[in-house]
Amino acid sequence: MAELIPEGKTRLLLVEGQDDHIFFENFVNHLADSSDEKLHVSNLAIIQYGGRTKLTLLLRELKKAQNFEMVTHIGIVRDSDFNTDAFRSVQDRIRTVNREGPPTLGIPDHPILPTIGDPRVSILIVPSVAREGMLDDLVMDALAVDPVATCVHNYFNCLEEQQVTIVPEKRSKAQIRVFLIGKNVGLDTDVSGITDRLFLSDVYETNLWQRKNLWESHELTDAKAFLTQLLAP
Amino acid sequence: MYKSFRVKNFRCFKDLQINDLGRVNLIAGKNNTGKTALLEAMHLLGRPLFPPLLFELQELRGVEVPNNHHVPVWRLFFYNVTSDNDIQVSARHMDSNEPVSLSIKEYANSQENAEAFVKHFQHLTALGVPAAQANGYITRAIAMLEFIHIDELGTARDAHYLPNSPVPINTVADDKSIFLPVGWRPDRQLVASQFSLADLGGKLEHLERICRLFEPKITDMRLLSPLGEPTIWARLNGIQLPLNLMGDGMNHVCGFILAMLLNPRYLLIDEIENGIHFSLQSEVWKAIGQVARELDIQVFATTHSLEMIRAAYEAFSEDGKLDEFRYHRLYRSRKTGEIKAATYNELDMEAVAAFDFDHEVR
Repeated sequence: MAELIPEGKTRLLLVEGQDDHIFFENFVNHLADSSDEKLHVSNLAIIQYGGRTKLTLLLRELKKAQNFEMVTHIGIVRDSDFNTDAFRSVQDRIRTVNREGPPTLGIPDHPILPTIGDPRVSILIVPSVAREGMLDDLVMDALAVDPVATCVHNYFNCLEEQQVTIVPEKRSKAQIRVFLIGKNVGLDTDVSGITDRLFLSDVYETNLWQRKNLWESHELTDAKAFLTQLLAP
Repeated sequence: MYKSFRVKNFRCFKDLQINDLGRVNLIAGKNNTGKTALLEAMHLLGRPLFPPLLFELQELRGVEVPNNHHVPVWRLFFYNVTSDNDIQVSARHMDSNEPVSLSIKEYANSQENAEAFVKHFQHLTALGVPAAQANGYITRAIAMLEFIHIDELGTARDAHYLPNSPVPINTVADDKSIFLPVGWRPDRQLVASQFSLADLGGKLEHLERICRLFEPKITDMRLLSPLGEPTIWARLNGIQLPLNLMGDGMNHVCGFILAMLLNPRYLLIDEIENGIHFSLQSEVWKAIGQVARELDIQVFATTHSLEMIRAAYEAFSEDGKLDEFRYHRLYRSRKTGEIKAATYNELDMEAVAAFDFDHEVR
């Protein structure tokens, strides 16, 4: 059984699920390679909380964890989702666990900016506080430099014009998969078949992402700022 | 029932405070984080004016206590094996803010401590020990222990202990707790007497219910002495068998229940998982919880077993009594090296369970 906070990990990045885990892990590795500063990457633990409803539970468990007293930074990532105030929701969840007893966690007033004190707490809402959606939307934004992304958008717009309903919650996930097909990902292993599942993480492996170094794209500026402060010396 | 417990300068604890205690408390932690020591401290507070208990506890740990070596042995109870600081054990009850406490202080046999020794001399002579003999005990002693207990009403009482001298009569045992150490096996004679008391008190149904978890064919239980020594026998579909032959797990759990039927205020069980198959653990917890509730007993048990923790969570959740259960994890602070406790209440246990106990809870 794993320790919730492995020994030596003083910075925690709490993410919703597997896709977010892989995205931020890749992003952190890129920052470690490219940053002028010596970022505390080896001290970082990425922990999945398994969806927004379980964030309170994870925070509650973290406060009791063996190595919690050594933690100096906590970054929380959440999808903005739909019809909800995600930032406020994260604030409320921190408030809830604070009411249950010490140790008390700081509650950020603004996205990205960390609280003062120990540990420093910060929140990142993806794609952004001002926009509904999820991590897949952010990734699609970054991919906009590729002409295939334009085809994908056109295709989905066309579907909309034809009154084919794609629920908003699934739209960006579907777009990512169509994009990957457009980049020949998942088609090359078997002539007659298509890979059953295409993952968001497959995007980062494409030549496009690597060649254009999309980690540095304008759309990921907020996420980069968030990670940089989380890992700052 | 205690709502909080604090122990200072005792064994491996410099200063450990545990808050938010429940009816049934399960204590876990890595090796050498003081699980057994915590139960010992609780037992001392449950029997606060009985100095020989120190040596009994030491022997339960397998440490021989030879005559004339009492001082080095009792110093093993002091933090860092030095008696510079007094041992202090205290607790607050649910219904009161006034703590009950026990402090244990060592006095070196020197001029400045003469007063304490004179007091002990008076105790001994009051016991009927001739003055010359009492004087001999005191002269030979290199140190003495003083126990001061303050009860719920704020009344202070003391007891003294001098190596090799008789124990003065004011050191009456005030049994509020029963301690079942690791490797504890129910003593046949004691079990027979506990069984008789339970029978007289009309409480045998608790015991029979537990035994049926292990052997559903049991119809009833009796105390029989076909070979002279009274033993518990169970009847299974007309066949009668001594309980001793029916497996370690069942005998162990019967021991817990019989101990509870003696109505202690606190039952302390070290390594509770011993001999209990994982498929029965949840039922055992339900039974312990039920008897503890009915007889108003607070239970403290230690474990190394994640299955036991899960089983307790399941048992108390299924019974809708998760609010009565607390899980305490002892750990060493990475910053200070001192032992601390993390207490998991109902909400915390639900949090841990939500991740399928995937993370550290032991």
